[in-house]
Amino acid sequence: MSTIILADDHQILRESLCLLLNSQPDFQVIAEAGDGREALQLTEQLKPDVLIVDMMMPGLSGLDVARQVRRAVPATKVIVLSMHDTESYVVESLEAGAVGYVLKQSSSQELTHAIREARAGHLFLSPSLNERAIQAYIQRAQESRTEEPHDTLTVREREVLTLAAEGLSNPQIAERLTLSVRTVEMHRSNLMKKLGLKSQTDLVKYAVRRGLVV
Amino acid sequence: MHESTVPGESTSSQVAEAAMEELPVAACVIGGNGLRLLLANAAFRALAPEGMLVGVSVDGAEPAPGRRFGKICREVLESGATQSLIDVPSRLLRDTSEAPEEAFHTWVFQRLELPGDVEQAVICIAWEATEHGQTDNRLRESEERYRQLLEVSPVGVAVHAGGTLVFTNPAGATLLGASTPEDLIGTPITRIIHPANLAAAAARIGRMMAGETGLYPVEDRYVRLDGQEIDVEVMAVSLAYEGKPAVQVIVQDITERKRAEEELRLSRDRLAQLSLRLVEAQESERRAIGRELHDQFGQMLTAMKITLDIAAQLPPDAAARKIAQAQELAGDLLSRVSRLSMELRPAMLDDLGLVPALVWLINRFQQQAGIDVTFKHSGVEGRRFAPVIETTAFRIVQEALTNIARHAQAMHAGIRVSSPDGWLEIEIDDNGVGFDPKEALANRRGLTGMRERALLVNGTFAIESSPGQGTHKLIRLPISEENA
Repeated sequence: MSTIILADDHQILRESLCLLLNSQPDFQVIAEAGDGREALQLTEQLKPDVLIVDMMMPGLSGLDVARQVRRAVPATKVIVLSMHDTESYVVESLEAGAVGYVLKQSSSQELTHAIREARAGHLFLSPSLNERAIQAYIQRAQESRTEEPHDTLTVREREVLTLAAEGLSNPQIAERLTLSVRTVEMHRSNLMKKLGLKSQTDLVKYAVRRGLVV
Repeated sequence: MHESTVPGESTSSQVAEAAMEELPVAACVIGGNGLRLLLANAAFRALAPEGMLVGVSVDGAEPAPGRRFGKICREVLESGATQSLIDVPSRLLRDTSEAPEEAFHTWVFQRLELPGDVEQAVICIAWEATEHGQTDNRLRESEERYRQLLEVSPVGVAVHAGGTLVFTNPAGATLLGASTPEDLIGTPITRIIHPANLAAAAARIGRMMAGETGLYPVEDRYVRLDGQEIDVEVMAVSLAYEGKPAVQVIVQDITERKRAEEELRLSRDRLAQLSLRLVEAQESERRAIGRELHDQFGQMLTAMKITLDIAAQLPPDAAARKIAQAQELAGDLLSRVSRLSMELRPAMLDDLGLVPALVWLINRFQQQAGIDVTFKHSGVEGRRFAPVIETTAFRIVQEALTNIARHAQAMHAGIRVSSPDGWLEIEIDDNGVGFDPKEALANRRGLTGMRERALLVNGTFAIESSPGQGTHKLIRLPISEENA
């Protein structure tokens, strides 16, 4: 027997899903919630095996609920129910700790299937979701993250950095790049801030370390 | 001084002496060694210091007369040239502290050839010109004040007569690009007034000289000595300058003001165009949604209803097939609704934040346009900014990508998002064909739209491109963090 809490702000949908789930002999809906806060509260209190949560709800979103449940009631498996077949929602849900992502427009068997998979410790995503897009999203999301301050330099800032490291003064850099001296000063101070550099010596050291100048 | 004996028998010298004594003007004779005072009448004695007695040297008198007095006497003695000093204060003879009140005199110093041991002497005559002198002095002071005013005035003042400049103040010289006012004297005004305005200016000057009023101030255009053109506001009056009819002009450089006005006008135009475009965009969007609702959703819902109606009248077996059809239609409808709502407003921006929305957008773009995009962000993930800033950032990136796909013929594009203090910085570049930004901003709605979006939230938008050089855009939006 799997105990289930069902959270969705649309009452008609909630009722029909409740009917569907309770028609399964091994499922029991032990509580229903109409918003995120209620869902979290009931889950913490009743510690169900599975929480089925609508992605978008007033107050706390399904994502917020999933994040907090993962921390507060890690034994409860969270399945996100969503209208969105876009990969960003899928990936963000999985990152928030959900183990299932079921599209509302898919057949009702999918949801019962997702619950059984979750109980067995497997991940379930609606089959109609585009797996390639999900993979591409995950890859891009990972690649785009950078803690490397150098990556945040603009093209101009990089140019100014290299010329400044070569020992050119702001007016000389301005002439070389056909910019105003004030603009160069601004770029220079921005890039120093981004890279956490305090002095010209820091700047030269940094440029040498990065192989920008020899 | 001398008592006359019998008037009838007086000598001519006695007559002359008495007459001199009574003269209403101060008179004295100075001469000999050490410039002794040889003769002085009553009026002079009243004017001179107490100790300046006949027989005493001008230099040795106690208290001494003004130093200038002796100096003039010597000069006249030596050169023989008569000196006249007009409206000189009585302190020529007395200290100001001594003088009861400041009076002005006209002084005449003339060399005298005398008989006897004193060969040369100077006769000095002075008459009071108090009234006239003070008026003159006040006039001179006022003139001096006027001159100083012209010197320091930030407004250019010039006088022209007979078609050439005869005077300008320093501000006038600066305005016209001359280092000193002297450099401008003699410059024809036809050299200063812009050729296109020359005829009008000449006509105006003619009418003003003929006595017409209300012609000024006018806006005009001048050409500086260095050739630069400036917009000016001119006020002019006719006057006599050194006896000749002349025109005094007061000129203010309004180039900056004109530029600001022009900018304001342009920005108003842009705003008007923007709101027009907004209205147009809204209308065309509504038209598309209306059509989609009617053509697609309406038709599909009708089909679904008919399918279900039929199913209701069929035996269970046959009904199940019809119901399956209706389910398919419902599923299709749901995806369409979801897609339409995403096109109207990318809900993920609100639901997930900027970074996931951009990752999604960029992936979809790369897939559809076949252009390789590098995306890097730092310090923005997991942060939420004001909705208007997130929307602006998202729409700008979206618009930029659309532009790149449409015009750039690029193989590669790069997007960098970071948040240096207080700003959300977005940099977008591509390695495409590039363009002339000025021309593009005038003609391409995409670019203007991006700039307008940035400016609307007090952000900045900079674009660098030239044909063949790719394009580089830098957008900075001010951020006020939400749920910080």
